[in-house]
Amino acid sequence: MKKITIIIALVFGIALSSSANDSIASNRNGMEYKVAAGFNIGGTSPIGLPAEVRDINSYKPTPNLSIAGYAIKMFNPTWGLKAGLRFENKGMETGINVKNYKMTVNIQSGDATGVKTGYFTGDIKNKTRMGYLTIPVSAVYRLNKQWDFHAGIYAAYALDYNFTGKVVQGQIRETPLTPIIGITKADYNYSDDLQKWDVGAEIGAACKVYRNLAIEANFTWGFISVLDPDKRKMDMDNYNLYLNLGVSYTF
Amino acid sequence: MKYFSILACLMLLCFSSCIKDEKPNIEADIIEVLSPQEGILNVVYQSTSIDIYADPAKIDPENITFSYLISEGATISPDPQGVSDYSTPRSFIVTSEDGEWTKTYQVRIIFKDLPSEFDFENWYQPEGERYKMPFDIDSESGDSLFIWSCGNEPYAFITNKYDDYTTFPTQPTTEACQGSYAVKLETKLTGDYYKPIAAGNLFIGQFDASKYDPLESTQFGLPFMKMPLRITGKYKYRSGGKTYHTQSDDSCRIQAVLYKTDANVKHLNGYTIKNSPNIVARAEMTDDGTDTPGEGYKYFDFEFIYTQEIDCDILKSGGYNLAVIFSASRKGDTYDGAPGSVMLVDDVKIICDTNF
Repeated sequence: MKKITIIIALVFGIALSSSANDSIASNRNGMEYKVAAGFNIGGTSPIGLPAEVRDINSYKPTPNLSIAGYAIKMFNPTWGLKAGLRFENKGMETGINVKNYKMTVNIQSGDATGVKTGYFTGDIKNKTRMGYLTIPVSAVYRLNKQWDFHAGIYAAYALDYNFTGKVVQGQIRETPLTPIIGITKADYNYSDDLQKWDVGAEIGAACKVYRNLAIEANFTWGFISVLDPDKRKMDMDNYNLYLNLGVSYTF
Repeated sequence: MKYFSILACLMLLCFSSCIKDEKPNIEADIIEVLSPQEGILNVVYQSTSIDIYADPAKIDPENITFSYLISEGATISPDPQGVSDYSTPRSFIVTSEDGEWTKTYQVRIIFKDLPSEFDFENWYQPEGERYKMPFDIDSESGDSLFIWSCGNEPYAFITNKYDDYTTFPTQPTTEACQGSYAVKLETKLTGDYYKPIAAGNLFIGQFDASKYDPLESTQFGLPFMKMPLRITGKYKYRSGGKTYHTQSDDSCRIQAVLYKTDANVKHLNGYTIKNSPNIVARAEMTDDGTDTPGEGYKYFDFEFIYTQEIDCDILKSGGYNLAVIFSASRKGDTYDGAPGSVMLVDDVKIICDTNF
């Protein structure tokens, strides 16, 4: 948390010093420019959990930073269009308990490496961490000098993608007809099964709190399941559902 | 940070509320023979067969009903309550709750105790598996006896790229000193992070792979109704060098343990084999288990040292179990050993007191 605060402070320090004398840019053909920083909290979560998931043991949001720059074109005092570029992380750590869940574990060391698929019963600890370059485009509704609302869509390309975890204290069998094998720990890494692209919708608001400084909230909803249905070794549709909270500065 | 936690809790709540009703179970197992308690000496569960070692004085094979614990929601046919004649092996079909999976089990009663001579001439491939296991043939009835176990089953699971029985820690070899085959035990690297070694091993008893703790997986011993005096046989050993974890010189081990069974102790496992109060006699390798000289086999003869009186009546009714354990790595039970340690074993005999 401390780290994030420092980074945000830095970004805004630079922004403030470089534009100390700018006023709100309503006089530049309706063009405004904004830099923003914040963090994403949420989940790359299954919409409709598979029935094999019997319990959620834990959920831990990871520190997901975002930095963005936007250009806003106001067509009239009320309506405008916003587009930009955002670097952001989306990720979380979860612990779930499953029963007879078909999945593949990687055995990554020794002279017998390879993948093993079977029905697993027990606990899974999963870590998801994605680094996206996102292009959001939204319509802006300006309620008054203080409040902006926006809704739109985004396209994101994953620059960095990790979907890893381990199965612990469980039992796995290749099919219900083969013997049950007890496992204390085995790892899996589905990073290569992740989709590089995500497309989704977003909706949010900005509230000016001091001069050109605003606090922002933006909810993003991915339409693409992050685990590629054609490649994946775990039968689950996970979608990016994140709330971004942060601050912005308008030039 | 506080808001962060609140949000995290909200997310968790949101996920939890989405947990669906459980799917119909896909398992179709006979998990356990539940009853009768009286007269059953030991039960050996294989993938599709169940051997019930029983005391002939207490169980009449033509008039006995067993009940079974089966997977949740599964059904069994015919109804075991309607089956009372086990004088020949009986088949039961277990169907999973979702109806997709069926498993046919063969249940038989075995009144015999263990044979006392093992030549490792007969090998079979368990259904759906890629490894081979030795079995013995009862000299009187001609029945197959599946008394030997090893860690091949979990090894098969974690090393699916191997489909040849010669790659398994326990396998037949034609380098025999008597007959056509002997048993070959070779310590292997498994690739599993936390137990990277599979010691070449073979023992009388069964391996319950479903246990998390490997020391509980090995269930040593089956009923033996004679008084053992010595264990003899032939072996050949080549150490693979330094062990994987402790970097000590690997050596092999042969041990045989006779112990009393009771309501609490049906078998000994990797922990209790060391010092269970039920142990009455133990025969142990007298040398240090290093490489055998020359190219041939070395003869061994180890005496059972009795630490408790043996009760003749209990012995004859199957109240004692015998475990015989061969391991190509002395510390194989704790998953330490040198990959490449190879032990060959053949022509094993349990010399018994003929006065009993």
